[in-house]
Amino acid sequence: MPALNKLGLLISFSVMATAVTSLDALAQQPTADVVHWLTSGAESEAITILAKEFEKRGGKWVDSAAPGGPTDAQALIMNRIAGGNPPGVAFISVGHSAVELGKEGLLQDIKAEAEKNGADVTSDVMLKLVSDTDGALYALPIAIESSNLAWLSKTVYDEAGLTFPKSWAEFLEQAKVLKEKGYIPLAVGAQGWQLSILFNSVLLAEAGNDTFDAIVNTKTAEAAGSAKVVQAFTTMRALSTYSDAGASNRAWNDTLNLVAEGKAAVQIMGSWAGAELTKMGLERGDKWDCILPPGNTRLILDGAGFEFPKVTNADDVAGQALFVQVMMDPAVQAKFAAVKGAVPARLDADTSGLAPCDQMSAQIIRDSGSFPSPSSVLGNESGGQIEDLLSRFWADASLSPEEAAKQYSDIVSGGQ
Amino acid sequence: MMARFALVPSILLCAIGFYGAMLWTVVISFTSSTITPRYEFAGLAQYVRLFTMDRWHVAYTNMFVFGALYIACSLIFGVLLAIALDQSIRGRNLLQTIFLYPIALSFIVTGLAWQWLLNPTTGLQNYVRGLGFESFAFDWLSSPDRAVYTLVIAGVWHAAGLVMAIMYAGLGSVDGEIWRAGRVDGIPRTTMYRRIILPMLKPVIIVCVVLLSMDVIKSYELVVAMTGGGPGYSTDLPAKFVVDNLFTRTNIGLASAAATLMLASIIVLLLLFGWLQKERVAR
Repeated sequence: MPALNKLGLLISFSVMATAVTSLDALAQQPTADVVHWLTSGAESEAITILAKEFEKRGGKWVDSAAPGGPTDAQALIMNRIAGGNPPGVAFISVGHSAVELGKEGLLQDIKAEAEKNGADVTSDVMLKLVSDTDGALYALPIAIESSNLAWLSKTVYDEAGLTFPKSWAEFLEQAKVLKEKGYIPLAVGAQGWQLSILFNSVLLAEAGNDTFDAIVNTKTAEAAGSAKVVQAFTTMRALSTYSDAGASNRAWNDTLNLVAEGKAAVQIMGSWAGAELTKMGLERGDKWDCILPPGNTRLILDGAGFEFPKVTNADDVAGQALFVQVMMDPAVQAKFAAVKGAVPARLDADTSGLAPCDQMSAQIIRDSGSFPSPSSVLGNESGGQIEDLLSRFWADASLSPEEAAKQYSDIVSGGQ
Repeated sequence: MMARFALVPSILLCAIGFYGAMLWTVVISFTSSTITPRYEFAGLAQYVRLFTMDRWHVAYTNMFVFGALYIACSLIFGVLLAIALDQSIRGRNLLQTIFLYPIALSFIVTGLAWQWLLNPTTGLQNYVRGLGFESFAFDWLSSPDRAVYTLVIAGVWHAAGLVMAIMYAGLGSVDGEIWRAGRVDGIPRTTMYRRIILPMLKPVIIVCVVLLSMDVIKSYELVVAMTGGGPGYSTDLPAKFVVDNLFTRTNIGLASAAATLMLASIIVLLLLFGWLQKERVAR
């Protein structure tokens, strides 16, 4: 009987031992629990590229998609951090809010990892957005989106016998002609964020590169309230009379459809519009074209990237390191950007696989330079206030350009 | 004793999940929290800021404009429909189903449908112009001064059926003797409704008003789907203001201050309701 007991003990010990070793084997796998909102069509394909590569290099990918978009993802991240179960990796729009979270001590400073993986050849406009003043780096960009591009209908310009204008003043001249011929001169979806995109490209043209630089890089109140900014608002007011009656709260892709159908001459929208036009089965150069907006010589950028909430578990920490390696691999970035319709954040990555408009963007970023978008610099709150201001200005003619410029300057200098 | 004991978990859940969360929101509204809750007392700073924001004033005023018109119109249409049904007309069941149908749709669907209908370039205006009336204009949806009334139109379409159903049930419960007495005295039907039947149904009407007021205060989807708060922020409502600031603008303190003011508004409404009830009992 005792012998049997001993045998039993031996068996149970060995079972336990195997259990422990297999647990150990599991425990040594780098794990990335990734919160993201890339769930539709091409975007979902893009995140799959990362997931596959991550698994190929021995990692374990846990997918925590928030299909509701950035707002849902943000809420999910905050809830999981508050609940003590932070995700290791979170997809973000590259911007000031990562620094805000970092300052609260919720994000991993990944400067060291980034420097090992090509931070020096990554767009410094993007890196600066997520760097704290003390040098900490709280997120990494993977792809760059240009927000100031003009998507024009070649059909409309050909039929009207016009060429795309060089300045907004010339645009307004042409708009009269286009309107008389029954076209919508400027396709606009009057939602805060869309107006913000339009305004930035007007501002860049009217204020010039130096003043725009002062606004986004030093947040100078004088620059933001200067006569040039008043001029930008004046142009904006004039433009508001050249849209159509259905603009209010119109989704950006419905607005783009006006251009695709040859009803409207042009829409100012980000690089994602190119992917949408291609999805409609229209190739560039056929009925539409992409070009820098009137008077713009540089691009205004928004970025897509990842932040890394602080985690304690060894697997998750290892997972973060492996994730940085994967996402900063130039080949991965090239594939990711090509599928998502953007430009790789690493400037040395191959751009030959990108869509024609994105190749154009990549070249402008390399040759002429770029700015971060004001909303990414100012953070969600001030960015939101600017959206409020612009949508009110667009709808309410009693708000004068001077008053609007003053409010704009207050928001810009008060922002952070 | 056991029964009471069994209730403890649900009471606790209610106390913590409901009142705890409310209390937490009120507390946060007095702090300087932005992206994360930070317990750093800031006095009334968030409220002061809230009151300097034009958008909050617009949103708060809209709640009353939208609320008053929504409740009044839903009641009027609902009561008229109920009275019409009460005339024992033919096809009553079919009509009841038709009028009750909108309430089965969510506010999101209602909002989207009415956005398409009222959009000047694709909807009603375009259709009537297509019929040959070139000068016809109905562009309230894109007019900052009038867009809020389009919310009322959509809201009333959505809610009038509910009021109708409740009022119709109320009318059905009126004793036939009262009608007979009215006929004996030769009182016209309209006077009967106005002076006798509807006053008898006051409790039912109050229930309708309470249900509709709840709709008003929590109304969020309708605005988001229909106008997105625009043109400008002319159709903003407090609930949308709170959600925008809480999630997209990561300003928990300001959002909590706005939410607290919404809570205060609800409490005032409840007190008013309680007072009305008491008045009725006292008489």
